[in-house]
Amino acid sequence: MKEKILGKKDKYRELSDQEIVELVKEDLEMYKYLIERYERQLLIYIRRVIYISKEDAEDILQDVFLKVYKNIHGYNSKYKFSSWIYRIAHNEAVSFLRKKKDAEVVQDSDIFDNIPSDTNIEDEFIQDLKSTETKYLLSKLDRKYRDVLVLRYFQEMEYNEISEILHIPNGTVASLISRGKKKFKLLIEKYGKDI
Amino acid sequence: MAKISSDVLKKIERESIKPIPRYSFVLKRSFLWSLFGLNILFGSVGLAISIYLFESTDILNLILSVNDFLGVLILAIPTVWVLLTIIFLLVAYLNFRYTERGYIFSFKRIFLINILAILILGVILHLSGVSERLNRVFSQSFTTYNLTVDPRYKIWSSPERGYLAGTILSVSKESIKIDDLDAKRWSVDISEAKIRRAVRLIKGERVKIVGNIIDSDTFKASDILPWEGRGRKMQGNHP
Repeated sequence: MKEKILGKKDKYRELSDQEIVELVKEDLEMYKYLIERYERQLLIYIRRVIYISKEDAEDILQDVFLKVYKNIHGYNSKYKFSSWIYRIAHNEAVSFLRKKKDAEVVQDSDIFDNIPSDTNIEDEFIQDLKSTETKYLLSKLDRKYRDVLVLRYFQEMEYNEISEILHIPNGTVASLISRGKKKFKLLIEKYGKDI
Repeated sequence: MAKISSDVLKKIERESIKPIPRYSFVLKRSFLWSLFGLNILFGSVGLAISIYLFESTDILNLILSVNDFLGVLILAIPTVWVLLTIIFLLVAYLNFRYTERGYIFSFKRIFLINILAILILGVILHLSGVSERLNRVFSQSFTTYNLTVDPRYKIWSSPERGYLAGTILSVSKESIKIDDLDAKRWSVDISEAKIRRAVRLIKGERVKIVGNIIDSDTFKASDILPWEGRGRKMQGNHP
């Protein structure tokens, strides 16, 4: 019996996002495979973009999955499902921040302790970005720069995916990344010694 | 982590949450595109009427004879329609921006596409005579339309500056009698006037007159133009 269940699970794990979405439309039970596929990465993403506690991030994540389910017929399978769900997560995170204007923003570098380090390191800039100290500095950047840098260097997304998530043109993504990197380097020069 | 998936599934079941039906997304998309199309159409109508009204002032035909050309040129701009065209252009931009893939185009690109669409459609509407017909409909439907929207009423109601317009009451060999746009009666000396081809000097015809005031109710005409400006081709001299 256990083998049978495991076999079923494995079968669904091999399906593409789009295929699971089609199954979810018919059977709610299938939704857990989508949730399992995205919950961890979305939780990390939410906590990287807005600096909040794990509990708050989990609340946001729940809302994200509820919203995804409600709007499942609105997903256009011509485009990547991951971009669509990240977009919803991004919007939910931003609206959480708006609602919680007066909330204390956690600016302690400890929040990064649970974030696993990525392996695909490209250059010196990314090396810098991944150290705990510079993750703290990242929190000092304007959100528009932080959004693109997190998606590009933490979530390792392509420019067109970032464009789909943030709903900005590809060219704007490129220029925000470029300017964000420069501003980040200035932050390192300014605050780096004090950390 | 398994907790989140089970919590979400339980909540969906407990609250009987159902996905929003597909047709409502189709409707939303169609609504946005229809709104975009309508705004482009309204913008084009605005532009077409703007061109028609500007052309009708005949100001470009009078560059050499008009004193204070820049001042009159500004008066000749049909501000209300130009503003409406700009508003429709901006709303069309927002409509397009919020369509499913609208974000992939830059502000400049969307704006340029919309301007081109409005320009092409607007010129077609104007050349096909739709602008003139629509302007007549608006003019007949709204009592204050002419005075507030049509720039001809501002420019051609200033005899002291040399611009007079009115409806012909009677015609004699060297003069005509007219009621101007404020219903004031004038005797107009046309003995040395250049009368454009499209002007019909008959009772009931509305004309625009360039010239100068002789006394409180006499005006000496140097140029007589038709009320409905139709461009240079119809503005030649009488044979």
